Amino acid sequence: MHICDSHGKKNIRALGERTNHGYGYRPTAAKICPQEILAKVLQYLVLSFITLIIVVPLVILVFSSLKTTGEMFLSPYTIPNPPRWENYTGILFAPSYWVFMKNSLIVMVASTAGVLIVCSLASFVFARMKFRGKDLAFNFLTLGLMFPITVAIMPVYLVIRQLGITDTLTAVILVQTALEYPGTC
Amino acid sequence: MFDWNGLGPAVDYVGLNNFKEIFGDKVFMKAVTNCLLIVVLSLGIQLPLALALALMVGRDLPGRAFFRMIFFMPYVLSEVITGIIWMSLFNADPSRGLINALLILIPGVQPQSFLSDLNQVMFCIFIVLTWKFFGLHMLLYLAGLQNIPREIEEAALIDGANRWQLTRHITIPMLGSTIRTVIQLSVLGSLTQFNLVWVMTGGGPVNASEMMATYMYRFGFRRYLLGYGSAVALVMFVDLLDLLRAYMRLARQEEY
Repeated sequence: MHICDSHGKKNIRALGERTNHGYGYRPTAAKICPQEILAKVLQYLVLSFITLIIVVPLVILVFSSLKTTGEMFLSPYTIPNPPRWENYTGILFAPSYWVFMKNSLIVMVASTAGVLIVCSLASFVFARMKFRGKDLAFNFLTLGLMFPITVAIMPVYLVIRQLGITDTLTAVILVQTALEYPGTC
Repeated sequence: MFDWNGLGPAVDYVGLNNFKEIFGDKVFMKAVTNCLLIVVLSLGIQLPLALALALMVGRDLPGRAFFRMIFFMPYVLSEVITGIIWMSLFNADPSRGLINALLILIPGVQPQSFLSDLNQVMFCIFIVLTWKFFGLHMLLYLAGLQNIPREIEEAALIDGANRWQLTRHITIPMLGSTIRTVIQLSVLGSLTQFNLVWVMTGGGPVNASEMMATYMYRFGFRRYLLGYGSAVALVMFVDLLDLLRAYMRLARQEEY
């Protein structure tokens, strides 16, 4: 829709001409007026400015990933010359990287599966069955939505320690599943 | 309610003393003030900005998909990495920190010490929070915009409304429920912000950027006062719950 704000009464024309058949509107060849161009230019200026603010830190991140530590401190904003690709090969060939990757994958798969199974069962109950205290139970669960992890971390830690599973992936998976639970059910 | 360091059973019962200590602690009050500051700033600046951008990239702007993607990018980045990038940008030394390097190009402007300045640190953190989270809010607004039926806007146009009236009287009221959700999410996020602050300043300098969550973490895990930390967590939770209940009552009244 191209509308000139200055010609309020003519706006109706901007919708296009009625086609002969049916209810569709065929767009008229857009009438371009100066205000409209100005508005568009301003829009693009604002958007480009914000894009710049967003992209610059990311580009710096990419650049510094291709430098040695010394180069990064000496000239943080220049294009890396020569690019140190060995940073990346170093990561990919480090054995610890694959351990981290494996752990992340295990946690991801297990907690997704857990959330899917438990939450589908629970949401079926809430959607289809009637029982006493259903609203109460549902409200209690959705309370978890406003429960940030930082608040819960202390008691969670104590429970995990009581169970004797600190420093294990099982603990992470269990907690992750429990935290995702209210959001999905 | 115990003076407990997490080792052995909790036997040293201190009643409500922990709570008394919390409310008497100036640092905790500072943390609460900081959280509220962030809430006010994000409601006043971040959300209107996100709404304006959502309206801009909303419908018929060529290249809108590109801008949407770019604006959403920071949200995908992990908070810790965001913190590290911005720490280097905010570096007080103009030869290392980009922002200072740009600032000294303006004649008469001294390099600022941003993150190590007691008065500036919260605003720096707010800038980073905005950078990271406005994309999410914009996306939520966009989803809301898509639910507004086009017919209503066309009807308004035929009645002779101009762009501004259209936005003011049709788009924003019809976005009402989305706006309420976004406000709620934003307030929750601001009050419980931990990662970014912990990475960038660790609550420093001299507790100037302490948030409730960092305060809790510091006492609970760094100083091993688990009893005290739990009390802080409880205070935080009750605060949040009250705030949300009050907010929901307020928001429901507006509904029509």
